[in-house]
Amino acid sequence: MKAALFSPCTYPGPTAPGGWPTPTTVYSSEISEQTFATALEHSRLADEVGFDWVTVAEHHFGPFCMTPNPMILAGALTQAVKRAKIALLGADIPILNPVRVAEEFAMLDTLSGGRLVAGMLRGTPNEYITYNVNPRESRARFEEALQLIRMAWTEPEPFGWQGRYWQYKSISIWPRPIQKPHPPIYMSGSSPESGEFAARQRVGLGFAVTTLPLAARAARHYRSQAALAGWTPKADDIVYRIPFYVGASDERALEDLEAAARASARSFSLALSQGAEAAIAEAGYYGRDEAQRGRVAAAFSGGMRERIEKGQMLLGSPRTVIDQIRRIHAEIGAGVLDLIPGLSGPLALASIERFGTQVLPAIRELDT
Amino acid sequence: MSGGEDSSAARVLEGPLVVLPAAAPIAALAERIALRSSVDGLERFDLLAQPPAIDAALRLALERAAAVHALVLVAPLPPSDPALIERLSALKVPTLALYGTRDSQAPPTTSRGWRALMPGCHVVFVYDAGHDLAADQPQAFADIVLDFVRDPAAFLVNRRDGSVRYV
Repeated sequence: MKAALFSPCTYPGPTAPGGWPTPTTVYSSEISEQTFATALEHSRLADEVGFDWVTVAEHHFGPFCMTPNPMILAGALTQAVKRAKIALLGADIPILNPVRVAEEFAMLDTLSGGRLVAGMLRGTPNEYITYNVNPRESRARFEEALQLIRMAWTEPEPFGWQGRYWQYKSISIWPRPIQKPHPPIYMSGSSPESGEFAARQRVGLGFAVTTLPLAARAARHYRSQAALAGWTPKADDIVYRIPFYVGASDERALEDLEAAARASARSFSLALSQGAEAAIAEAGYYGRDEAQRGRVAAAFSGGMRERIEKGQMLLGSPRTVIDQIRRIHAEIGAGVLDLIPGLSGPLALASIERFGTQVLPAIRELDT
Repeated sequence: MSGGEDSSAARVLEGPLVVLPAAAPIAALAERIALRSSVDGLERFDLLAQPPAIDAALRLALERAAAVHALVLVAPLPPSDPALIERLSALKVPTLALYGTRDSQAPPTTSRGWRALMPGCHVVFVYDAGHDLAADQPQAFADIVLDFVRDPAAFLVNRRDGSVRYV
């Protein structure tokens, strides 16, 4: 099994109240500068202690994740991180210019010496407001963009693209990706449609903001669809994103987490107005598994112990966390854990180090 | 493009084409196509061919090069006749080769062979179309063909008005 360290670049300072998009009436440039410095520090450490990937992701208009263009942070990571792969999980391709995405990915693969992992996601529902794209078109745009990006990476001669959502007269991107035929592609796959498309396209699948049973069901669907398409996903083809905190002991881990929760009672919201939420749902954004939306929301309402049980948090001593990971591996078959630091400051650094030196060696064998 | 009774002949567009409204489906394009087996008497024309008429269209284009305004090849495979292949590099007619991204008979990778034979040829992939591009994606097909034949020399340049219109 492999481990990735995700840098969400969450703004840690106070913010004005309200939903999304979040106003910047309370905002500090210094805190934002420090946030990016911390992301680089965490990623460097992860690289040193043996993490396989470092991860960045795209979100817009809020303090929850300050990497609206994760390509830029990834560019810095290509220089700061010497060994680990640089994973973008991902670029929200339906709302972007796919040719530009292909170019940026190819630059990152070249800058990193072939260490790019190219995640392509639909993004959270609110992202469709960001660049004023109809959420009804989300899935169809996603499918077209992914195929266009792959074509831009692999076609050696200029070609035009007469698509449903994008038209180009002549494309010939420079530089080309180093990895052949192209960098590994991952997409998010909680819904049945996503699993089916990923299987047809032979790309990897990532799970985030879900539960163990929901992800296990989706992973089974993906594997069965891949079998129909004539191939077998490897363990590495499934990524599971989860917050983690490895403490010195089980007791210390819980104490650290509770102390941090008391010190900072803030929480972020991607909540839109109810009318906008309903409009996005009505547009068919969630696809055939609309009901999953409610199930996931309900699943995140529980307490700490319940969240660990549902596979939504890794918490405890190295030994305890190893057991929690064994269960995730057994139920989903995920080959890569994308880990979100559960705490900040020195505690986060200590947790990353414990994971790399004490947990990672024990879970390496899980795929063999 | 509909019907197949004269599929062995090149299809001839009497040019220049009138620009169709953006919403016109392939049926409207088909109305503009004079299905002909001969170009006798035409001084200037656009030529649109799909298999199995590709080789015939290429021979015609070579023979009447000065009269051909634009040549559109739909899902073409490179000719098997070595003599025809040899002559293609001299063909100066503006050419567009279209391929469907789902076509298994003439997949997009086939275009790589064409480029070597006809260096000036534009290649465009029609997304989510199989071998019968016009039937699978009529609007996309009509749009790209009309865009090309309207002014082949300026094909690469987007001349659409991008401003927001309030009606």
